Amino acid sequence: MKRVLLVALFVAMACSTMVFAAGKKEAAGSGKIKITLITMDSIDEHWLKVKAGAEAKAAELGNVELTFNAPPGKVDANVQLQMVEDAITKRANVIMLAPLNKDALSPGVEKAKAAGIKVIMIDSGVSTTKYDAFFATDNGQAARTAADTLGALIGGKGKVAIINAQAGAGTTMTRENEFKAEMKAKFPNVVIVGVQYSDGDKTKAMNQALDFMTANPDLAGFYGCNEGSTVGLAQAVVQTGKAGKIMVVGFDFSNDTKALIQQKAIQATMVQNPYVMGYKGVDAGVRAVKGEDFGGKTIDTGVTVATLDNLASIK
Amino acid sequence: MAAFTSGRPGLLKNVSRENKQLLSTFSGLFVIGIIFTILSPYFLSVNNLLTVATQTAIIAIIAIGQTYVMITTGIDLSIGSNIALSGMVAGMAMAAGLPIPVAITMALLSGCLVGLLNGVMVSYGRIPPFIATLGTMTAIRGVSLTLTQGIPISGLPKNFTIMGTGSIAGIPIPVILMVVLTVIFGFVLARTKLGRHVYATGSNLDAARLSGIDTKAVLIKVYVISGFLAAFAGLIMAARIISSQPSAGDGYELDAVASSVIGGTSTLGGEGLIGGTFIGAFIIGILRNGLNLVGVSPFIQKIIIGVVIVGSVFMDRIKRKD
Repeated sequence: MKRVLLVALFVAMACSTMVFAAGKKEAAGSGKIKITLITMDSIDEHWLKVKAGAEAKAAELGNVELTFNAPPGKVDANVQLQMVEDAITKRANVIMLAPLNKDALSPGVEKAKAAGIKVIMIDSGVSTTKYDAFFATDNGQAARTAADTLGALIGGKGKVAIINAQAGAGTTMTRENEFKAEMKAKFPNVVIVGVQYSDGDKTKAMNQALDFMTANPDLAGFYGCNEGSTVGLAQAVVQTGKAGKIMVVGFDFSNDTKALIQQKAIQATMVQNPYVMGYKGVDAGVRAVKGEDFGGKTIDTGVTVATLDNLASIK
Repeated sequence: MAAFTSGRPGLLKNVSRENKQLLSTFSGLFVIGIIFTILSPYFLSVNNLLTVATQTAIIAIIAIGQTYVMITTGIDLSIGSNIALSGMVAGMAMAAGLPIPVAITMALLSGCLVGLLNGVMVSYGRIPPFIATLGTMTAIRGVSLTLTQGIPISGLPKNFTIMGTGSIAGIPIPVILMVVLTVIFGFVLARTKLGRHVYATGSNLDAARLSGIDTKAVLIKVYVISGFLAAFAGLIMAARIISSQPSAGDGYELDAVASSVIGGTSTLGGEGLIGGTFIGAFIIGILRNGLNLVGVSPFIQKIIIGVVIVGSVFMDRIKRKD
């Protein structure tokens, strides 16, 4: 009995603090357009750049109250769905969402639209079409560019190994499959020796790359499907003294990838424009609330190929 | 095996049983090694074996701590988060311009502190180890993410990263560190008073307490050891990939549990050998490396490793019935 009382007391205390905090925020934010940004995680630099872009536009506009939310670390679509539902409950005006799973988040998107909330999709799509705008990199196009770049670097022949992030995640699987298809079509003499999934863990990617190099002493190229995979495999290339000998083409941009490009361990990386996604996403959200036009429902935010030559100009 | 042990005098009965355990784990490793030597021309080379040893170092080091904890019937789920915390603390300290030894000391202390917290919750707080360390696992992950708002720290100084990338006389430094830590903590567990108290506490907590052992202090010490080793592994990991990741080490505590269990540590407590855990970690490491070299699909690999974990414990149970 004592324990029940204690727990009840604790829960009551916790709730009252939350209500109090929420109440305070509500008062301060009245009259502003409330935007909730929900990304896939709060770790990857990609999402931090989306957030930075969104914050910059929100600060520029002035009348926007931006809330940032993301599952803390682990890949969990259910947690994300709860965040969408929370945003609906809190009566956000706009939800900006990078869905972890296209099916799992669809009901949440539809529910938000039904509640009169504007929904801006970021980075990845959902199964439903009931959203207002979709800002994303055309990952298939980016992967084909990666294949063209790597194919040219290795002279159109030789062995290539792929390190992907999560098996089954839409975005990264597109990057793997479109890369393979393009290689097969344009460089028939390139053999893809295998694919490993690092879960974006740099240490795992490094270990997998070492094994690829052991099993294929004549490996010509590596392709990494996200930041963690690219950095991990490039570190393995550096530490085995193969920098510049094995060609590396990867995805995403960070301080680590930048340093590795400078060490000539990464020849090219496909840089998305997450900052633009966040920036334009907030802009589109505000315009949607005001009933203004924002230039189409699906907007490709493009990809830049970062190399040693243009490194200084990449942000 | 029965003939091998039955002739021995009663006094050595315990020792021979330990050796038997080590021998059976080692023969498992040996068989796996032979299979991969046959299947892949690249497996049995000095270069590849050093690669495997480097890949296994982090798991082997954290598994030592997990073994100490598991002998006391506990479990430490906070190891993975502790790996991240240690890397972040060291990374931030170095980014702030502190000398490398100071940064390393701070990181190791952070790991010990988490261990102390776990130990106090388990011993004085009487919170089940699974729950206590599940709590710290989550909370410490939150702390390491909060430290830099989730941003990794890159470009760690060369004098630090040598700990993960350098080698002495051709042997990678992570491998040397792994061996040194295994020998030290293996000795402490097998040959010192603390080691005997760890076994006694795990075999029968009440009996150990009634015979005058400060079981609360023993419990705190094993969690501090586990925290220290997790932090040590975190430093090696950060040094190897030349950056501190707040997401590092996610799920690694389960590899540590698997290594201990394959190595013969009983989940019921009171039993376990650092030598066995060391071999257990290598069974997992060699399986991953060998399957990669042979080109087995990563999805099938997960199935095989899962079967090996359960299978090795099952074999152990059958042998003990004899």
